[in-house]
Amino acid sequence: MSRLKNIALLGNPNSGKSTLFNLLTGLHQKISNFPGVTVEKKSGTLTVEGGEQVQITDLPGTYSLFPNSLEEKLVVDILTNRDHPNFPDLIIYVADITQIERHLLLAVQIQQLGIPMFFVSNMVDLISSTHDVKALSDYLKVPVITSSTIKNTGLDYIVQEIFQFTREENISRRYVHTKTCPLSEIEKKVVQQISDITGVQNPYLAKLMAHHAAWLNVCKSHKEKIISITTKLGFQNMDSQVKEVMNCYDDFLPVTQAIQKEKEETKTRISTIDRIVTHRVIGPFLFFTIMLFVFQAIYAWATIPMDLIEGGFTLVSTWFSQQLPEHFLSDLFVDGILAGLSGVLIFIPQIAILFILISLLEESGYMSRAVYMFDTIMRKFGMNGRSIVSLVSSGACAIPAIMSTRTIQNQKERLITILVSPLISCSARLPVYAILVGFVVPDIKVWGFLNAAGLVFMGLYLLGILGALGSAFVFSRILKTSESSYLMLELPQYKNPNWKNVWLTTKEKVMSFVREAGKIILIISMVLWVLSSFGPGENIAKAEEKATLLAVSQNLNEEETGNLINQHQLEASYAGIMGKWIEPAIRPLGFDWKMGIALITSFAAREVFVGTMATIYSIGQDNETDTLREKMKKEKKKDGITPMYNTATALSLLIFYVFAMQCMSTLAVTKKETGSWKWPIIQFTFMGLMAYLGSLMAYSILA
Amino acid sequence: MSAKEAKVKDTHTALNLKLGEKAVICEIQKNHLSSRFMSLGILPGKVCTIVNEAPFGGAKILQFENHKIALRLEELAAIYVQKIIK
Repeated sequence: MSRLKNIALLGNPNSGKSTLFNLLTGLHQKISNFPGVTVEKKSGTLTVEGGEQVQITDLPGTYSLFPNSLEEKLVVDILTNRDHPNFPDLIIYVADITQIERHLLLAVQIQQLGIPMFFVSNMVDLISSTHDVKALSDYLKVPVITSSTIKNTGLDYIVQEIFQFTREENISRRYVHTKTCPLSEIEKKVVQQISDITGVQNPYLAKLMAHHAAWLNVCKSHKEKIISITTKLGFQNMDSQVKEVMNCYDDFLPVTQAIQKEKEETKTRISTIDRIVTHRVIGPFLFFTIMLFVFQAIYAWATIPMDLIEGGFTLVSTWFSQQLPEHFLSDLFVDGILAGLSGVLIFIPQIAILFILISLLEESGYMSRAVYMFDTIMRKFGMNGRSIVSLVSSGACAIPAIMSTRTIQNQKERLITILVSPLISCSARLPVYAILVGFVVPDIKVWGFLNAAGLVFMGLYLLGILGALGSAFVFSRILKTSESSYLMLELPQYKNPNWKNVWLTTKEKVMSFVREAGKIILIISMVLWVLSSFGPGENIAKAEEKATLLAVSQNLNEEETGNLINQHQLEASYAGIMGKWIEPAIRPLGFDWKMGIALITSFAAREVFVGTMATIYSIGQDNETDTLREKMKKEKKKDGITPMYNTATALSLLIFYVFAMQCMSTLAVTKKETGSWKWPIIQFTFMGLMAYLGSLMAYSILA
Repeated sequence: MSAKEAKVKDTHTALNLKLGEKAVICEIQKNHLSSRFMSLGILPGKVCTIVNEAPFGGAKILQFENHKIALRLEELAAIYVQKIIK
């Protein structure tokens, strides 16, 4: 079978390009990375009339072929190299018609390169009268299609044009109109000499090589020669870029003037909205109100579907454990696979809700205002205005939060946000805090009305926030980047969101989580099940025997016997052995081997701590919290007198849970988002170190 | 950079524009970001205004025609302007 025709969507950021991509490919999308770089590659397929399939790639938003970011450099790398696997057979150039002057620049550069292209003039609904497309098509001399990705119009014509392309015999006649770039004498010489050594025919391609030889993916001998040519002939890189852009603007000025008319009313409306939205006082207030709403949605509303998923799984696994014969494979299925599956699906409501809200914020144009307002503050911590949304979301769950960092363009800022997000206390830490906080402070009121436990809670949350900001600050100093940091952010016009696009984005996020992170979560969950169900040799069987005898001698009823067996089996398992094995390491923190076991098993998810402690203290799984607290209160240290859970131990354990990376799902998502195991390992290590040192300090001071 | 040039830079960049003051862009400082300025449409000859200052400082919104661009202070300092006196 011959290779699918490769069509690329190209355009400035905010041109509606990605929405168009979603509408064209629907759910036939694949998200991967471009080879060799950590830039996200979105591609999908479209089947046109007659059944031919074409591949559509959404190239990163680009302002011009003079790049300022990693993503833009990648686009230049692809478009200047006909042998690049992603070099397009056709470019669909998407431009926002209301910003036509700026969006024409890149289109003209593409034409200078002589790549086949047709032009989509988007957002036609935002201008009051039908604009003069003729001026545009006269200028570009390639097909121009008007569309509105907000109102879903023009899509048919675009698909029709793609169909036309697949059948077209003379592609250059319809889609190529090579514009020439005016060159100075020096530039002409440079271009000529570069053509001579590289064999490049297109003068503009040779000029781009002169501009970008330093980083462009060309063979080494050419690279050196090009650089020596440019220095020898005194080629002024920046001057030449500026001059070219100015020439371009001059050249198409008559065209854009013919189009740009009557926009006064939208202009004043937007200014009024912006005056409120970015107001000194109202702006931040409005932002935090919106964030409160986002937080509330993923913290509280998501629990309804989450409880349903959990309840459903409990029903299913109970049914299976009654139906299936008693065999370790049945246990593997119920406690390993089903539990792991439930551990994956449980995150879907939070991910879906957060992404519906975030795409609404992005699409409406509000997000760029927020980024602008908080740029100064977040910059100090090496992050981006968008990071605030992720950090707030982490208060509910780090998983959707980390996934939401995709829109942060600067790779370093994005990485820092991913690394520190899990330090913000999430909802899974709550059950652990709840059970331990009573050991830190007595149930008293401070100043007559403030609950002491509540204050400790607040302190723990605060500690998480400080930990996140502090480590972000450190990472911003350590991590190196070749990208320059700048804001220069375009504030797009306010738009009504395209609901179909919101739906597609959300669905894509959920599916990719299940597909990519789901695998890892399932595997780790099975490993943890093996660790806590099996032991070396006859350990488990012996433990059961011993527990049964003990139960008989103590005259226990059936339920109590079961609990006692579970306790002894867990102690005899690999997890139990590991808990004992790490005891010397955690003793300085005030922990014993029982807590060691809980630390290991709660790697699955922090709230598992409570369940494991219940098993260790031989309590059934029903109304465990109160009984567990009583049992823990009675627990004594080795001397048999001093209580195990005093203020020092409990606080030390709490601090450990504030900082430690006790969540395999978060690590799986970090792996998915960064594309390598390096970062989840670093994340696990630095958070573990913070936890250990934090607990050590707290325990040494208090004990 | 000579003392004279430094003085020109100080007094005549977009950084010195007050809220609502109109100015014409004369020149963009040449550095690695100048092409980004240009592709955002910030070009010599354009009439621009500062329409907003960020709540926590550090950045302002520059408006020209119907475009709004958020710029950091050091980015504003790279835009040489001439004030329009009414």
